[in-house]
Amino acid sequence: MVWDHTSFFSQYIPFLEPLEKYFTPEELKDFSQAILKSATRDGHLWLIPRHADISVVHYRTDLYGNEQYKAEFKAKYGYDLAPPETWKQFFDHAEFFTGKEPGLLGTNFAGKEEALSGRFYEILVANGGKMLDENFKPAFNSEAGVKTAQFFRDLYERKLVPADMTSLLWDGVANNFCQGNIAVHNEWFGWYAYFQDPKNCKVAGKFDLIRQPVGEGGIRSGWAGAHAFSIPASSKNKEAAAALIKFLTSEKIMYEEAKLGFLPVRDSVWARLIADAAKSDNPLDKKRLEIAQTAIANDFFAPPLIAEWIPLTNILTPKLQAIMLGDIDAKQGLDEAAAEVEKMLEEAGYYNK
Amino acid sequence: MAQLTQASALEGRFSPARRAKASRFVVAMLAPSVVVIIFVVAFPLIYSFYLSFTSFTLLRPVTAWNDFANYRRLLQDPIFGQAFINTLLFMFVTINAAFLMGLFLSQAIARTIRGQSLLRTMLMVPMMFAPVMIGFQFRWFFNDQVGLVNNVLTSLGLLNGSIPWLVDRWLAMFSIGVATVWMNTPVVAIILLAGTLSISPELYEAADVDGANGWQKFRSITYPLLGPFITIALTILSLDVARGFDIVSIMTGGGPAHRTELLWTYVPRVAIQDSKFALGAAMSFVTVIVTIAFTLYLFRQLLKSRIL
Amino acid sequence: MRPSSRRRLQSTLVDLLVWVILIAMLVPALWLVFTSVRNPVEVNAKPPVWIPRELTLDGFKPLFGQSTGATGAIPFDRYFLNSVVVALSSTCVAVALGTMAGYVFARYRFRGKNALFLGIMLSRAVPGISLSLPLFLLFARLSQSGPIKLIDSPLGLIIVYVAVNVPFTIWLMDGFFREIPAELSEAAQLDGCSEWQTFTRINLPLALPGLAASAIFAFLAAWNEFQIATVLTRTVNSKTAPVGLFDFTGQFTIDWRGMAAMATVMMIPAIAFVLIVQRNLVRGLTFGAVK
Repeated sequence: MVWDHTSFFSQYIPFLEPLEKYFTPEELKDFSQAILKSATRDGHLWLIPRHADISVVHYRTDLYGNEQYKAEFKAKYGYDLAPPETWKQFFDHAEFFTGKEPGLLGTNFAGKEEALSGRFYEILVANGGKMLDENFKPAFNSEAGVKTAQFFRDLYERKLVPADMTSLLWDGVANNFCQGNIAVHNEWFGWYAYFQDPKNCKVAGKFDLIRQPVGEGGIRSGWAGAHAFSIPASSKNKEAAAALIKFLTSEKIMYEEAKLGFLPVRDSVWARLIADAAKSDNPLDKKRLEIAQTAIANDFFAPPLIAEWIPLTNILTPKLQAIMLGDIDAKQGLDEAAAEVEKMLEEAGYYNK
Repeated sequence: MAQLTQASALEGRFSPARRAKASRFVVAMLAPSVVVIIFVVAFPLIYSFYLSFTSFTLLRPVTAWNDFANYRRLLQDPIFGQAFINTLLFMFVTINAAFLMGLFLSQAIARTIRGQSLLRTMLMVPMMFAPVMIGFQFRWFFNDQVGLVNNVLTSLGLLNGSIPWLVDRWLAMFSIGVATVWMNTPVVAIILLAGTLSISPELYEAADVDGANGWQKFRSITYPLLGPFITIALTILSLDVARGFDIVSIMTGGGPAHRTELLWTYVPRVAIQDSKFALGAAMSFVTVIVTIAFTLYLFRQLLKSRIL
Repeated sequence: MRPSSRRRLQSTLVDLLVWVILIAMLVPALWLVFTSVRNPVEVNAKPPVWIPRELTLDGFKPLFGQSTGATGAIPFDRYFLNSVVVALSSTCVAVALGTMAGYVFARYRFRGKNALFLGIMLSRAVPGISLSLPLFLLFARLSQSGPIKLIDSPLGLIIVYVAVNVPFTIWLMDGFFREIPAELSEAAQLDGCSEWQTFTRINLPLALPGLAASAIFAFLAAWNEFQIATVLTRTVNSKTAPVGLFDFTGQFTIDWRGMAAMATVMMIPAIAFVLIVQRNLVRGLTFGAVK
């Protein structure tokens, strides 16, 4: 039995055992269908999910609720200041709040490694674009892709994000939000307990959540992934491994884990958690779970199911950084990245058929 | 190891039997070191040299000859070229900076009378740090929002806003350079300190009689006599700087947009993350040749001063 | 101003500068210790909190089997033990082998000596990235076919660190033995000492400061090595402390305070080791490194 992740399992498929013979459809019914779908490739199920995560927008209630800001915003942009429903609004809000208070920046995104490509991916999808087309040819240099890359570049050039965003990873951007330096922030659900703890964070009790904004393609998309279990093809006792997985992903265990802050992947556990959270003093505890459940059911977009996802991000991320930093124009940068990705996938044998 | 059996102890003053014993002794004394180095260094190098002519990857272990494809590819790879130039530049600057810093500290500490052993211990603190931790620590120091450097500059009123140290190409190179120099200065300082202390005080007393000032004494006594120590310090430095992978990969990872890409950040990414093991092997082979050429140059100086 | 008082002023200024530089060099270490005892909210605070307002040892909890909000308990005792075992034994072996070879290089003439010496020294110039992966493949193959396990075992790391540290030891010891008058050895041999006895009874005792110097370098290199260890180790059976530092990084998080706490504890053996042997260091280097 091995630990795995929906973003990464593809590269191990040659070494994995298909799982559908060990799990009946009845047993799988309770699991989130969107996640099972992203764990399926070539008609076989390779993973049994354990817990999931998806992006969600965090925004500062003290800023969004400030009457003076509301009035100023309305005067400047011509519509009401409310939590962002679209990426366009998200950008306006970032622009509006930057510098409104000392040290306050509009937003930030993890700006390097896989993280930046992943963030690009989810907004690309929202804008109606695709990372790869059905023949595994790169499609991210489309018009939607250029718009998405330009979105990041504009954020950076207008200094609405930290100047060192290209060297920030998850902990860095989360800390900036935690310290109260960020107005609106695209983040994982998993940080909730940390942000709500006043011992850690200045924003405890001062933020709210909203589902991912809609892009120009009319799509609401969240970059998502699930931690999961799989069985190696070389395993000597596959039945025992399957039994262990069944135990570890059982309703009881998953419920216990979910109480630690992980998002569960079984509908029955969701029901219990939401019932529990309804008793909490903080209404956001319950709202958070409801948003998460809705998001996982509707907005779950896992990265392309290819083994070369990380190598792909190793090509794409530096180009996105170059676009943001102004070294290269958005269209040209994406075209170059697409050419390199295509070459890489060709060498990996994707276009031989 | 046939070449070793011709050992002659102490200029052949002994009987042939004694000489045979001596040559067995030489072989026995050298063999363990040679064997372990062959096993750990030579073997893997030969193996990766062999793989660099194939299309081997970790997932598809093919070992068929591929007609220099990896080498042709790395010659065409602009990022590799950039990393190559960055690496040479980075090594040149940090080695010189660490050397000058170490030289200054060693000279200054050598002439202090009180607290010398305390100073020496303080000097050794950076050596006790794991390079991984140096990387994390300096990445945080140079952080744009909460880092110590920007905070200090702001508190002193020298800075309004913040400097994105790890973003701009030259600032980022400077930042990783500072961390590397910080890590490598102590070794140089200690070796040069040892060298300086080994110089007979009488030479300085004689110079004092002649009325020489501090700089003249350094020029005409210390520096020439430090010669062999300087060669050693530079050699160790060039080896250690070239091993500074941990620091750079944690501080910038070669980014953003390949701006601080060095061979040490690029090669593992190609070989492990992109799982192009054979291409990585070819690249790392080029790296080895560069490092060795660099070292060999310094060694020639050193070997000249050895009586062999 | 008279020349002598100007000189005095100059030398006071230089002294001052040295203290400033050395204290500045201590800052990263001090900051690390500060971070380890801070309240987590201060660690990345903006505006900064220079001096910790309240001290807490909570950051050290994960090292001793308790979990904090940020990190669960980590098997620090195992990592620490692995590090001690690997660093101490590889240091002893490397110093022993290097001393033997260094002695031969200093005292004997044989064919191919220069080339061999050069070859050994150059082996140290090979960067870790060029070694770690092929080593992994070779060790994995050996572990599969033979009874000796080299992947994920302290033994594998010890062998690697010995090879990495032997060249520098040879170099130091070679120079050091050259400083011991050869007449002593010749006299001993005429008195009937064997080659081995001449080495152990006459030369070795005089070379002790050199051994100390070599040991410091070998120990610190092995204690802090990360790049090869991260490839060759997998589990608590062999993971060393520098690799274990990454237990404080999650997929999304860094428990910076916990990491600082662990690094602080990791520095203690290094400091102890250096203090124990450093008395001999300068002397050892003085004799050992020249020529």
